[in-house]
Amino acid sequence: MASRVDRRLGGGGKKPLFPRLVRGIKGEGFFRGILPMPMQLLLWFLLIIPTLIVLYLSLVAWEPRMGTDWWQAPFAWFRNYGYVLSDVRFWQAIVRTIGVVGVAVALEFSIGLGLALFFQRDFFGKRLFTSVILYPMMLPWVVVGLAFYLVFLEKGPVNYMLIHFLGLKTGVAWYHYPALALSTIILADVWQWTPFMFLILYSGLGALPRDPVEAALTLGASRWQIFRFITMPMLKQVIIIALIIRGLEAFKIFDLVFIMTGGGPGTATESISLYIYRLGFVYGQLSYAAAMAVLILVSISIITRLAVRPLEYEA
Amino acid sequence: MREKHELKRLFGRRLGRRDFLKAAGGASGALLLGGLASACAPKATPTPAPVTPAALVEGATPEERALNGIKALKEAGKIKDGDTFTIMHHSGQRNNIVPALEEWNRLTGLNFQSAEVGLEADIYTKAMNEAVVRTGDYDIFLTFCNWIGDMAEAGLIVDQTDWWAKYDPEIDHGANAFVPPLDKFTSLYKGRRYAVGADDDAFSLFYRKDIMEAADKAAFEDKYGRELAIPNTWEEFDQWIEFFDRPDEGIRGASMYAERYFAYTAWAARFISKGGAYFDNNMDPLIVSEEGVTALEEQIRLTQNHMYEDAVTGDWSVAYTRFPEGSVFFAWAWASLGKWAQDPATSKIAGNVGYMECPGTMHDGTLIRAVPHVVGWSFSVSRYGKCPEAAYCWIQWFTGPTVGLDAIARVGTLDTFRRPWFDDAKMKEAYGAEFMPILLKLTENSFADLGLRGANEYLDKLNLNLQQAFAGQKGAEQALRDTADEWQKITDRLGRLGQIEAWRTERANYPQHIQDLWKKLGKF
Repeated sequence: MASRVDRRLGGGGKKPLFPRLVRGIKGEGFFRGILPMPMQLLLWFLLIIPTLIVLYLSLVAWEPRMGTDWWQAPFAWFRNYGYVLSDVRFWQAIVRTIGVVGVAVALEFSIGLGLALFFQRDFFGKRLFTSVILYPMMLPWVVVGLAFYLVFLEKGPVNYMLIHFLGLKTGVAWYHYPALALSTIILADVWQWTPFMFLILYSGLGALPRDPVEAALTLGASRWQIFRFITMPMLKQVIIIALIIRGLEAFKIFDLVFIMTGGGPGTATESISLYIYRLGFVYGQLSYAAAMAVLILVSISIITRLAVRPLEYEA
Repeated sequence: MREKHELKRLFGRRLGRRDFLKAAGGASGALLLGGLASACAPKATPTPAPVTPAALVEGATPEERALNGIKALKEAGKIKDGDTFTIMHHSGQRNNIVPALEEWNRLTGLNFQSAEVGLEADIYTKAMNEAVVRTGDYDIFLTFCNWIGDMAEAGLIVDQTDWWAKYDPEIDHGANAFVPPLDKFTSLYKGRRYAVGADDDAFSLFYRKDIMEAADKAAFEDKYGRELAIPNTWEEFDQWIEFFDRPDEGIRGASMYAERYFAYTAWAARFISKGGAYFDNNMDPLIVSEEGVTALEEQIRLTQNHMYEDAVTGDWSVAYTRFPEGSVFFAWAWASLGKWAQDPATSKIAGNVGYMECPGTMHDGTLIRAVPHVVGWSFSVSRYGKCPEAAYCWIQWFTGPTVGLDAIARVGTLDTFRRPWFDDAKMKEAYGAEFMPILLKLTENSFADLGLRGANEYLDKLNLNLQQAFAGQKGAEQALRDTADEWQKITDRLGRLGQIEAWRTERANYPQHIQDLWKKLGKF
């Protein structure tokens, strides 16, 4: 005999009151909707709502010190975006950041690849050296920034060596000249993040099949030919992934610049993240900073999309 | 592919990007609309600013009146024993504040606690964040004086004017008053009292007494045509520094800030003493003027020829390293450098520190000195705290003539500010007896940092351009012109009329002799 509940849910031969609802609850669809809901809600709160608020802020003219709430601010529509595009300091920061990313990531890749190739062979203490090489990557940015700041101070160890071993009369004022100041930042970044490149490329190299290499050796290929025509093409996907991850991370460079030069002298070493921070938290121009952040986000998304395209074709 | 099939099996059909975005967009739109609707609903009324002052609260001293105020608030049921109040302050003030909190909590039965912030700039960020999110987590802010404008305009802090009348903190009158003009610029914004000053940051000047005494006086006289003495004017000062600049002996002439955050200090001292003012009556910048450009050219020459390069590239701590280690003849910084330099534990030159007044500019036979008061801390009360009036009572008690003396004499980043404290034995012991009369004169001649709404931004743009000038990347006039252009944009963006009102009232906080000079020069 069908129970009362069964009857209400449509069992027991009677026609249910809300057939679609009952079908939904009884079927898999109900659980399909319910089960992922906590994660979806989390995602909305963590990602979509803040993004929408940033988008909204970028379209209004609001600063906390205006004394109004952000939802009461007058709409500026795309005026903030117009200001950003005509902001010389913004473009300077973008070009500078791209320069730093280009040089730093290229160096990290080259050194990382060299180390990864070197570590393919066995030698005494290899496991120990592998751990030691990874050590800088585990340090917080702030520690690295402070350490390198001290290293390049006027009375720091670098100048000490220049004076005592190269015979310079005075130390170099590393933070006084824009090019030198930028080079110290790049050096710190390279020191900290080359291990990351090494780690990815080393793993990638280790996972490559040995057969093509052995076949090439049998056919008399040189080491360079094997590297150029076999290893590198097979490693291409890993390289692209490594460059994208490191490039995106390096583009957000903030801590090193903030600690080592403060963006100075003047704005000579200011990165785009530091500029957005200044706009938002020092100048209080949150709407303007939001517009800048949105523009950066869109640009980075497009660039990343283009960068991963080769991977999709190959997949 | 396997994952895709798995998803399809689980969800019946493939959960496409479009489906997800549709669902997410719908839900977030609903949430946003809900948020907006609740936001547009009448707001919970923030704790109102005090209204008509009652009769002066009884008590012989500011501290007594503050304690009586707490009693009255308890009787009125506005607060009760054990209520917690939180003070946001910089970690450098721990030693000044925390011991006093224990005493206050014992006397009142309340629970006042400290919330330290490690980085000064973070205090501004956290305070402005509180203005937006209104958590009520903080009852009192100890911030730079020139942030008061932003905090007041953001609706974060309470106008204390009526509480001053009700409780009489004895700040601008009487034997215990603050040294003028500290009584004005540490608390006033647009003519209203929004804060209580708790610090004196008049920049102080220190030199090596031993080197000065041992110097070849005849050589100085031959070179400059006058006796070797402490300089009174900026021109004399530049010659004096030049004379004592001895790079071959490892001693440079001076350590004066030309870096990212305080590059304006020395320029401003020269500029104001020459009769310069930051803005005219309509908030049009006056810095691209003869006074401004000359002042900057003089300071650039001094920086590039007689200082270490870390004057430009370092930070505030450079003076605190250079001077006590004996690698510069002269340094200027906050009064606390005096404490450091005369303490054998932190200094190689203890016992050889000389103190001097700030040089000035002669105007028709009158020497006009202008000393930058750089940052300086003051207490303000959060509008969103538990009981703003009780929070104010603590501030009055802490800065009172007796409690404050003990608190400020302890090692910390707050410096003496009430007039009688300059003659007090405790303070003389802390700062050095010889320094106190000099510090008093420096304070009397001091002018505040720009305190308008957006002060941080105005000063940052100025510092940025000045640092570029000191580093040789821009000429003096170009640096000031670029600053002026930026200032105009800020003023227009924040509302010129409001800024004009703030500037006109702020100008009245300058020392009288500077205001008189402006009048004489036809500036205002």
